[in-house]
Amino acid sequence: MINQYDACLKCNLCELHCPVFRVTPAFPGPKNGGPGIERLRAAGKAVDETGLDLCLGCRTCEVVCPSGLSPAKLVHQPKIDKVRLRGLPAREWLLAHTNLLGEVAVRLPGVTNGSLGLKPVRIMMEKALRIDRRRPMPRYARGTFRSWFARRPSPWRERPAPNGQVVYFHGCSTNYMLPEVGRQTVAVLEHNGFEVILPPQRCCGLPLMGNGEIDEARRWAAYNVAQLRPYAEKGIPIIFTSTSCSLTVKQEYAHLLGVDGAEAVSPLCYDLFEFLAQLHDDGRLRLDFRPSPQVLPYHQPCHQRVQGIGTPAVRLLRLIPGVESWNMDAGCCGASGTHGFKREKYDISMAVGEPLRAALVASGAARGVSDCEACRWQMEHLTGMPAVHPITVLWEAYGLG
Amino acid sequence: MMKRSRTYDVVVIGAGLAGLMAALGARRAGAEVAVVAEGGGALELSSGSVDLLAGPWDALAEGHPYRLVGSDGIRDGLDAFLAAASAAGLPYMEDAEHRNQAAVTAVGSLRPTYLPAPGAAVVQPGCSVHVVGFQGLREFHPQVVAEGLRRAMPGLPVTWGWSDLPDGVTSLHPLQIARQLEEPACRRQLAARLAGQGVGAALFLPAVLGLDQAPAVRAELSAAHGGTVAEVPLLSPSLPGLRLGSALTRHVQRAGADLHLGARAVGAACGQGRIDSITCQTVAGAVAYRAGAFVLATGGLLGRGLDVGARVPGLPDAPIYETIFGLPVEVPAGPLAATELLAPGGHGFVRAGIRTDEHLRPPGWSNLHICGKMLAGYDPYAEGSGGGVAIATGWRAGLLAGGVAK
Repeated sequence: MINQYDACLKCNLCELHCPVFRVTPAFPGPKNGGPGIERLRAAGKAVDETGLDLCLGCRTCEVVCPSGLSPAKLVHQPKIDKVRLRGLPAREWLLAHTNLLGEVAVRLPGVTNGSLGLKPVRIMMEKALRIDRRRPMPRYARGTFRSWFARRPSPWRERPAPNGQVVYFHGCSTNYMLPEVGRQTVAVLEHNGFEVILPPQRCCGLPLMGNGEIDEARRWAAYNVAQLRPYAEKGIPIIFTSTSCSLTVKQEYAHLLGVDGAEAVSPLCYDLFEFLAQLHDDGRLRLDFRPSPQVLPYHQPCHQRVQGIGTPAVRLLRLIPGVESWNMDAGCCGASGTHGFKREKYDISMAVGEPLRAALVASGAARGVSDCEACRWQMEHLTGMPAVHPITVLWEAYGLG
Repeated sequence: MMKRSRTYDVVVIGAGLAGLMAALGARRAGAEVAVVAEGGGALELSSGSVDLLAGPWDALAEGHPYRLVGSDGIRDGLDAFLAAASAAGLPYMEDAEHRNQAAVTAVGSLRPTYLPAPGAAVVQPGCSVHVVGFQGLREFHPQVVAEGLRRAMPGLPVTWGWSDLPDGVTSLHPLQIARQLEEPACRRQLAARLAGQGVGAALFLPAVLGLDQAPAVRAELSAAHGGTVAEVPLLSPSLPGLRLGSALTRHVQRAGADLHLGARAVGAACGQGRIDSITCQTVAGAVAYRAGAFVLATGGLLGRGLDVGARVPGLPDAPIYETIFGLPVEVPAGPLAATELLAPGGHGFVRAGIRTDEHLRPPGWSNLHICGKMLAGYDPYAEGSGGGVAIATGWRAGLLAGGVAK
C-alpha cells in the first residue's frame, strides 16, 4: 500500500470543501494537517500541531478525496497520542462520558435541567471548564428510554411478530435526553410487524474517540460487540437512530479500534432510515400514511454521508402524501457532537453552521429534519425553529401518536 | 441476512458536470433518480466557465459526441444548463450572437469560452481595463495580467495597480479571503480602498470576491466603483469552479434526485444486453442499485472511469480499460502521449473512450447510456469542448435513460 502522504496529489479538493478551513485561518486544513504533516511525522521530525484540534471530524475531506485518502484520520492522530500520554483533561472527560452523566442526570431531571439553565451555573462552567455559556445544554428526560421499554407490555406476547426481530441500538441521547425518538422508533417498527429487542449497551464510544481517548473507547466497543454479536450471527438486523453511533459501530470498531468480532457485526448494522428504505425496496414497508402537507428541509449528518448510503430519509418522507422534502446540502452544521460546547470552538461552530442557518430560514418551513441529535440541537440553536428526527414525521403520518 | 439494495428508475454513476446534467435530464423525463459517486466531480478545479468549442464547427470529425447529439441536442443541453444554473443563483449569459466570449486568464491571455462564469472578466471591444492585485496574494500579479492583455489586444487601454486587502482579511488563502470578504465591514472597506483606481474603466480583480454571496459582494464593489467589477480566475483552488460545483449539486437534489456520495461503483450484474444492477461499496458492505436504465458519467481517465492496466510485452502502450462494466475502449491509433505537455495536437489518451450509437449506447447494450469524458472521439482540452460535451451528452443521456426506464 502507498503511504497516505505519497498518494496525496495536492489537488486541494479537501481544502475547498472543508467546513472549518474556510471559516478560520487557525486550522491548518486537511491537506497540510493530514498528509502534509504525516510526511514529516513519518520521517521522525517534530511537527507543529497547532490548530489541528479544530477539526470537526466531519470527514468531508474523505468523501471528496479523489485518491481515496482519509485526511481527517491523520489530522486526528496527534490528539490520540497526546491523550495516551497525559490522559483526558477534565472538560473532555465530562463531555465524553455521556452515559455516566446521563445515569445521574436522568434521576434528577428537574434539578439538572434547572441548574444547567441558570446563568451563574453556566458562568461557573465556562470559567472552570471552558464550556461556552451561549451553547444551550440538552435537556435530560424524566426517566430513560430503557425504563419505559422495560415497563411496557410487548405487543407480541400472544403471537410471534410477522416480520421477525430487530435489535435496537438507541445510543445515549435517545436513552437520557430524547426518549420520544426511541418510543417512536419502536412504534414504527412494531407497526411494520417487527419485534424490537433491546440488549444491554454502553455508549458507542464516539465522544471518547473524538476527544482522543481510544483505549477506553475500545473497552466500551468490546462490550457492545459482545452484546450485539450473537444477534448478528443469527442474521438479525441491528438498527441505529443516531448516525454517529451507526458509523462508529459499522466502521470504527473494526478500523480504528480493531475490536475482535466487529467485522461480524458491521454487515448487520443499519441506520433506521436505511433499514426502512430497504423494507420499501423489498416491498415490505407499510404505506398507510395520512396525508400530511408540509415542507421539510432535510439536513444530512456528515457521519451519515460518509457511510455512502445516500439520503434514505428524504426518499421515505416523500412517500408521505403532501410532503415536500429535499436535502439542503448546506454543509456541516458545525456542532460536531461535543465540539460545539467548548469555549474556544463556539464561534467557529456557529460560523460553520451559517450556510445551514441561511438554508433553513430561506426554506420558510416550520421545522427542519435531521437524523442526528447534535445536528438537530445546532439547527435549533442557529435558527430558533424546531428540528425533528425523520422518525417523528413518519410516526405522525402513520397516526401512531 | 437481508441483501442491501436500492431500486430507482435511473441510476447515474458520477457526480461531475455530465452526471449532474444527466440526473436533471432523467428528472425531466419523470424518472426517480439516484446519483452514485465515489466523490464529487472536478468542477471545483475548473475556472467555472463553460467551453463549447474553440475552433470551427464544420471541422468536427465523424462520430464526435457533438455529431451524435446534433445541434438541437446541444441547444437543448445548453438551455437546460442555463435554466439550472440560473435557478441555483448563477445567471450564465450567452453572447447575443452565440459567439465565444474572450475570458481573461491570470496571465492576461484571452481564452475563448462560450459561457463565462457569472462575473468573470471578459474583454469587449471599446472597453478600457484597470487590473488590481491584492498585496500579498501571490497567485495574481496585476502587471502580468496587464502586459498579457496588451499583447493579446493591442490598442486596448490597460492600466494596473495594487490594493491592500481589508483589515478584516487575515489570510492569504483564496478560499479564506473569499469567505472573509463576505463580511459587510470587509466589503465596505475594500470598496473604500479601491476608490480612485481605474475610474471609468472596468475593474479586474482576482477571483476571490465571495463564496455563496459572491453576487452581493461584486454588486457592492460595482456600485462603489460606478462601473464593471469582474474577476480573473486563479489556478486551483478556484472559487468560480467551487461556486458552480456547489450550486449545481444542491440544485440537482432540490430537483428531486438522490445523491449517494461515498458510494463507489465496483461491478455490475447484467442480463441479455441489459444492465440489471450495479454494486456499490459502502462502509457496511455492498449495495445493489437496480434500475431500468443507467448512465455512465465517470469522467474518463481523470475521473477513473477509465484506467490503465499492466503493460503487455510487445505492445507500445499499456491497455486502457473501463472500470465498472469492462466496456470495450476505443483507443486512437498512434502514440498515447505526445512528447510535449501542451502539444497543439493534444494527447492520444484523452481521445480514448467508449464508442456509442446516437442514443449514446455502447454496441449491444439497451439500457446503458454514456456521457461526458467517457465518450470516445474527442479531445476536450485541445478542442475546448469539455463543458459543452458534458452538458449536451449528459442531458441527452439522462433524457434517454429516463425515457427507457419509464
